[in-house]
Amino acid sequence: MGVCSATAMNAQDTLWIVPGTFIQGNDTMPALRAETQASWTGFNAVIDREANTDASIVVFNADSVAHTWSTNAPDAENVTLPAGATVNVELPSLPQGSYQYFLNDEQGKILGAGGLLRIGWSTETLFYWNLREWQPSMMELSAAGEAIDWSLPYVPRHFTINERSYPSTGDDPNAYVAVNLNDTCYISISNFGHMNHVLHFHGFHVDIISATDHPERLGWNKDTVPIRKGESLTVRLVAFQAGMYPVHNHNLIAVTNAGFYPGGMITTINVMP
Amino acid sequence: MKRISLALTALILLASNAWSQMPPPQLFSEMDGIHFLADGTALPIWGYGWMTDGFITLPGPLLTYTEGEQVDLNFSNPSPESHTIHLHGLDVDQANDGVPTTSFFVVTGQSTTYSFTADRPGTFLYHCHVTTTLHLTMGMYGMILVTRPDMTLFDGGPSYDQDIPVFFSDLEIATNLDPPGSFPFHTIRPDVFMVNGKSDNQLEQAAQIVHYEPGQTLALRLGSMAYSRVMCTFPSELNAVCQMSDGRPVPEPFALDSLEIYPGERFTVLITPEAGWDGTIDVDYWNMADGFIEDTQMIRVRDAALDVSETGQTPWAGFPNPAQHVIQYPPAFNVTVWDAWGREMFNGDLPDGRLHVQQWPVGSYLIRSGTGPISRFVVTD
Repeated sequence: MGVCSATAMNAQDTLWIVPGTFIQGNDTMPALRAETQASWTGFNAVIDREANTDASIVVFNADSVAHTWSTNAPDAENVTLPAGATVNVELPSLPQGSYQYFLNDEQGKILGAGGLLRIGWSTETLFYWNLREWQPSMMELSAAGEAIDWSLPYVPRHFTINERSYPSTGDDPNAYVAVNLNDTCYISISNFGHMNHVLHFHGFHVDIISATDHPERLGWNKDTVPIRKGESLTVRLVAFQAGMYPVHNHNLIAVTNAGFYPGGMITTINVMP
Repeated sequence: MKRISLALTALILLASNAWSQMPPPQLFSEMDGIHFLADGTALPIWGYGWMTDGFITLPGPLLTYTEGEQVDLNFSNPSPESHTIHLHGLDVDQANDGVPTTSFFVVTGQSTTYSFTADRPGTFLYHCHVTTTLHLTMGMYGMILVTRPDMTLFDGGPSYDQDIPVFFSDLEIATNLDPPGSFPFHTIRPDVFMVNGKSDNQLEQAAQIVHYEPGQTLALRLGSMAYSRVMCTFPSELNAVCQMSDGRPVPEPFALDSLEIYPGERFTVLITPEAGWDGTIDVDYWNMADGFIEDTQMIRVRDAALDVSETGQTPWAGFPNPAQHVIQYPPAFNVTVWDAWGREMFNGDLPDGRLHVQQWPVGSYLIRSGTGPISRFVVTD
């Protein structure tokens, strides 16, 4: 049985918190990213670390306001990132799995800096899906320093995997799962948004092999997988049949771009014979 | 006696599976259906129906197959727009997946056959995958059950007595009244929340009530095509145990008092309700985006014996029912009473009509005088 391959936007030494403009269709949004470089690309980086080992990463906050760093690891602590400062952030010793790092202040959460923290997968083959939804008006308010009224209905206009919406997800080798027949691959999935998401796999069931919030589901074999806000999962997919099969959010407002179907959280599993 | 029990069970099955499959197996789609809401509003729907029936329903017909069956699902689309059937969770090959861009459209006037092997038992769904956000909220969905002849859930799994399909969905009235006007689709927010296509007082109708006989184990086949997150609350009297999710056994079956079901998910939950129980599984619908609770519906579960006497289907009902000590009937002769397993509990006359049940086990019983109608009652503690 083979393994699949994909190239991640890995950040192994230094991470930059970079402000910029996120463009989706006709919407332009003030945004933040956790980048592998000092300049804006629009994509959040993945951090890979070994399992059960203390580690660290240097984070440079290039934004004009302070932010708070955190992870969804058990007993995670907040770390202040002053504006313009460089901070050496300790990463906890964790068992193999998928986790997330993120900015834990309201503006940091809404503007979208945060990515996958993959632990113990250095010799495995991985894809990753950073799930997030975007409401431009809320991002404008937050960027202007306004508080968000969470009692109002939340109506995001854009839904992305790795900061791309369908059909652009097909251009991302980490989101588009291209494998050979009978390959086994692993997908790290994490929900960075403000709402729960649920992914449906066409053609396949996947095994849940790590879960930060619902460990009771480890070992379940499912075709429809909830990923609650703040949750990270690793799933194993065995490509037992050839063909092209969509994977999409089954909350069907989330497969649109500003209301147009199809869009949003859709990607593809392409199993080559 | 066994034949009487079987006949009663068949009646209950017919009542609870009003949208079950009928031959020949040919589905069709239409876009001019009508669905009646609880307040009597006639709402336009799109959906599926059997060609032999000539009308569509919400949800669509229940499709039932036997494990290992080679299925050819015939489908015709006489409607004005293209549709498909996606066989949700059956892991069919690309050609039969029902996704227009990777499989094919079934355009107006075209027929096709979806072929697959029902190789795993479980609860599955089907729905149209054309402009999915709109076509689903219009009602184009249904449930698929793959079962085993020996009435076990899966190879080596627990046995049970009866399948109970429970399909959750929701819709937005404004969208159904004006589908093109529903754009932009990301603002769709359902305002009607359904269990097997019914809401509110409709769920009190006899055909919507899940009836059981004491000692029976029912397989609740829970599946959701809602836009909402569904949360079911199981009273302890149901002794609910989750056995399967998404057509696969869960590694460790677990007792549960609540279960959340996301759009597209399925669960098989076995319940063994206590004798004489009459209550509800409350079903909460939570908005997926902002987490506000939108509505609460219910699944009514009721000892079948209670229903027979209360609805007056027999002229020979006792009182009280359920009873602890004595049930009062009209004077009767040549009376026979059986328990739910067909064992004779009493044979004789009741000249004063009083049947003493104080020492009897808790459970459901059948009673008949001579060759008269059968009545049922429950003994409680």
